[in-house]
Amino acid sequence: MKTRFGFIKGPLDWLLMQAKRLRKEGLRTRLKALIKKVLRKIDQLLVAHPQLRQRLIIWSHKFGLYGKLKTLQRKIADEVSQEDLLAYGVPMPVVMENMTPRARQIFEELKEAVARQRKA
Amino acid sequence: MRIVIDMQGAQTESRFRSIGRYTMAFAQAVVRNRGEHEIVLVLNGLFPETIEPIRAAFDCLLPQENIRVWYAPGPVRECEPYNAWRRDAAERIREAFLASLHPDVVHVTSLFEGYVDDAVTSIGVFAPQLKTVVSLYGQQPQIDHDDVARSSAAYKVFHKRKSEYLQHASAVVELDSDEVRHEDATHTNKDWPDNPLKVIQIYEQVRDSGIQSNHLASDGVPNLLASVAAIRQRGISERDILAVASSIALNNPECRQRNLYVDISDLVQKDLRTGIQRVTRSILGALQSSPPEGYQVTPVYATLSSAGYRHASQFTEQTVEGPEAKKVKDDLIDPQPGDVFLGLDFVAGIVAAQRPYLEWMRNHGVRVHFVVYDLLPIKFPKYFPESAERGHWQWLQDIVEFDGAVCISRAVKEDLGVWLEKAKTKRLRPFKTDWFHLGGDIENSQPSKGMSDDAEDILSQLAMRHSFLMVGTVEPRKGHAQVLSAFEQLWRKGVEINLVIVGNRGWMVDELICCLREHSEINTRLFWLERISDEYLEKIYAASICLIAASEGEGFGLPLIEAARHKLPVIARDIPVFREVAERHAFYFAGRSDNSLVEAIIEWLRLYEAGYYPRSTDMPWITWKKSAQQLLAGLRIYDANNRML
Repeated sequence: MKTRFGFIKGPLDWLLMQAKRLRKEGLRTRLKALIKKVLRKIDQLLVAHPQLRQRLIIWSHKFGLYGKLKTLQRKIADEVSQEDLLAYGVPMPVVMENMTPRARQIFEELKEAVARQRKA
Repeated sequence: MRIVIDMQGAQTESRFRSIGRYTMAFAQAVVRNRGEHEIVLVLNGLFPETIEPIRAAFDCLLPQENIRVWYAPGPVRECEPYNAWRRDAAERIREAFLASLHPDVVHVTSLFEGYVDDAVTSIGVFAPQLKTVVSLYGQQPQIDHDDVARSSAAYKVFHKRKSEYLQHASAVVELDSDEVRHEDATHTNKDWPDNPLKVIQIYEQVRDSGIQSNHLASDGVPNLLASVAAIRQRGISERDILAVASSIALNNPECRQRNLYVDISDLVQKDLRTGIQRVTRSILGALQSSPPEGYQVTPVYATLSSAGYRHASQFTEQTVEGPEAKKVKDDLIDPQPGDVFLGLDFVAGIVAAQRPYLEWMRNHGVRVHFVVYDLLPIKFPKYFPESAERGHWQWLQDIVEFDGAVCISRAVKEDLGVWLEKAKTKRLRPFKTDWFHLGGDIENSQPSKGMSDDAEDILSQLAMRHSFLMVGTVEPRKGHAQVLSAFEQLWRKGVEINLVIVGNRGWMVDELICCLREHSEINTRLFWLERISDEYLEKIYAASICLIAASEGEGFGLPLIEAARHKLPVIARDIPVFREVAERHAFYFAGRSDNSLVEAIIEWLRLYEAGYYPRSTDMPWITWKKSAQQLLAGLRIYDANNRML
């Protein structure tokens, strides 16, 4: 019985969660999150269409906007993807919580190796 | 000889050009002519949209297990200087992955890739022992770069580096550039190469030349980590290190048995003991007690809010230890090629939310199957809330993107076949459908216990007259209204019988519920029992003389089996699924009018008194263990040696 209502309940749960976050974080933060989400979608679109991306890079060089756009892209990628597990359609977690135990172990070992290398 | 073919030529922007077409035609020709040799195709996971088309192109030529996907931290395209560290790391990661496959020969189908997209090619950066053959398309790579890009210093560096890699190749298969250009201009699809056996001969020569390939040993990962850490660093972020670690973990999986992941998302989050959840519990229990050979059964779940499936460790702990169970972390699962994912619970919203993850699993080489319980919201939209038909349609569209579905009856499989025809879904590989039957041994479905306070009274009242039982959620499709009207007529005629309805209140039945609650016969000759335990239901079965299955559509009709187990005769509506389950061991009626059912009940009572009614005792039914075995057969899963279990 409940499973049939899942179709209604799913979107309703999502709406309730959004309302809760709006109350908790405020309109400004949620709007910022929305803008970042849209920008990230654009970034993903450009990743999926390399020719379009290449053209944008050339145009941005022409108009002297490359540096600014690149900074924005890096900022968006770093901040928004904190929530996102599936970068590039592949589970590439950006937070430890979303890593498998094996990936966590490799991460710790790699971090240590990088730190050793830096010292050296 | 194990030949590994790097298929990036068919994945990058080159896939729209001659190099891509050549790579596909070449690989297919080699696979067709492989003889005793083993061919493994390797794909770059940074091009997820290209993986399924390539898998489909080799569907009947090569086992899917021989198509492997490797991952690197993206983006890595060389036209962007920020990617330098990731690209260098990716080259090492890719070579380590290739070495882990223990190839005799590696064939790189297109080396000059990765300037404008996320291709990763290198030779001898991490695993110089790999014997590599390179396809070369004339003197210049056939990439149609923009003039600005081609004349840039970055492009020159890229070209020089790739040319240096070429020096480390063991052999080069050169294709005349004029031929390639001609093909590009005319877009004719010539079957290259003319003789793939010649290429295999080249592989044999390469294998037999020089020092024997020194395969990467099990300490490959520590070496790789040291090599990645040694890359000149300039402002690498923790995010990059996380991505590198995840890539290495995906490319170098732990040696373990294959996993059969069983999705029990609904059961984990709230066990409402609905019909589907009873099936989920029973099948999971049966699979865990006798897992398929070479597989371990792992219950998993997902939520709407976060991507990926997690081990249902806490749920398992609670099932075993009860509410006192200690807190356990539910880690993300770590799927490997050859694993199987079974969507056992019906969780349409979660499937939609997890579709990208499920697609990734399929690309990775995990077989993704679902259990289809029914298509009732599509067959009988009038009996469901408005959004149910659309939702069910959407769910079916989501699941047919994957490998297959196992339906809970032959009738449901037929309905699904009709839907597949109607929906005209576009697929690259066939969608496999099969069916199985549910178990009837209630004692193995982890039955709920407990009796209500008035149970004794009700059971004694049922014993006073012949009681007819209906089991199932009270909803329009189940035919409660028709049965109630028929019984009202029978009571008016002076027939002394009881009607017992067991089932929770469903949807779109406000009027019927009012009628039931305020009925003059309620708790006299009419009984409605909500939320009763399986233990109580067992006793109701024992106190009744007949089960009425008046539903207009069912996925399976488990109450028929349960009735048979209690030797309870059955009056069933004449629908395909009831015929499939009960065969000739039930008394069938047709028609939606009260009179048709009244006549059927009177006829059945006459036969009952005379002792000529259809007995349900010989109705065939299977245990949950057998049901799980049928389900596994429907999944068509393979062991580690690619033999179907």
